[in-house]
Amino acid sequence: MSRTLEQAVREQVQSHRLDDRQAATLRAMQEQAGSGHSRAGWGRWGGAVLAAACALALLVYFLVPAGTGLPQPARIADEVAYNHVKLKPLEVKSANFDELRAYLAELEFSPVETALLDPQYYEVLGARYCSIEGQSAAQIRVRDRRTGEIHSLYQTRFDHERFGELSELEQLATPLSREARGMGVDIWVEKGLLFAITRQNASVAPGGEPPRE
Amino acid sequence: MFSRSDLDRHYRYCCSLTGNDADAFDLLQSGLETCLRKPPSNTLARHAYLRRILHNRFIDQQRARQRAPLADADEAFPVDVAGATLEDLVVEGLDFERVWTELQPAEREILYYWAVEGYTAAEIAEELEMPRGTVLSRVHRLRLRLRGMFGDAGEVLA
Repeated sequence: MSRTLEQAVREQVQSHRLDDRQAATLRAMQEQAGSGHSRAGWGRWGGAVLAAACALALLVYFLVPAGTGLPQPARIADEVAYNHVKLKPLEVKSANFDELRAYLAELEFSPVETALLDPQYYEVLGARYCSIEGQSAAQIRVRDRRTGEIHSLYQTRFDHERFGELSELEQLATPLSREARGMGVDIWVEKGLLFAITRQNASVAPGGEPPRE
Repeated sequence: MFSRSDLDRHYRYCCSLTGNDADAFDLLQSGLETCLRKPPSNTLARHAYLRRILHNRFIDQQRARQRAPLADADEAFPVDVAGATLEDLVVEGLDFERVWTELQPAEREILYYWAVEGYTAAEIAEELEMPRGTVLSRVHRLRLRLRGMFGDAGEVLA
């Protein structure tokens, strides 16, 4: 199977992820630093504070089930919002979904058009490879014809093991809504894929219906 | 406060610099400790600040270990950068992980910004605070080097 250098590099880099213990250590460092009393003492007591943070992290690691911290919907919303804000260049520019699908052929799934975005209102602009929670994904940029707003639509294979916290989404008729970085993110499962889309309006789902959890 | 996905993103950057997971975590942990002493309030600035710390700390570590720093020794010599692009390189049937580990940190860093962050040469130059011509020189040399590595493994170049 041939792939571009860009794809090879992206897959190589994105194969790396902090394990739960490492993440807990870094989270504990941040919580310790954010507690206020520690900021001035970092320089003098940095080693002691770091040791305490590590001890706390280990405690968390052994006492709390793996994968806790931010709930998965919040993590996904944050990652999606972060990527949307950066508005990285599109790798393929086309309004034709077949062309996007052909370009994104290296994904382990075939991107599909979602029933929640009415083509009458949403214009597809293009796409690029990306990832969600470390899994390869498609980032498709769409424009709301009514408002001119740009949205980032993400799709990835709904892996029950990886997205276990979202299994309830398969039963929901409307998206789960979360706030992240000053914008709304709707998350849903459709046709065996996990979808997420950014939106400016925090109270209305992309299909125009109020979201429910 | 950096979220888990933020930290994963910075960790991947560290992996690109160091070439291995253990050093990457050490780099991220020490960089985060520095960042937390005086974190910018703005989210985007906080990310840029941490990225800058990680970059500079890695250079310091390389110097301390007397390893090759991020800049190439022959960078001062001008090269023809007319074909300085990586877009048309195709990898086929190659153990890319091996190629990745054999690259220099400076090469992996440029590839990271280009392929993962989607930066142009101008944006990479801005990020690394170097002239765009220097980035293009590195890309040109990187292209030659990759072609050599791919060629040895029977790779196809479009």
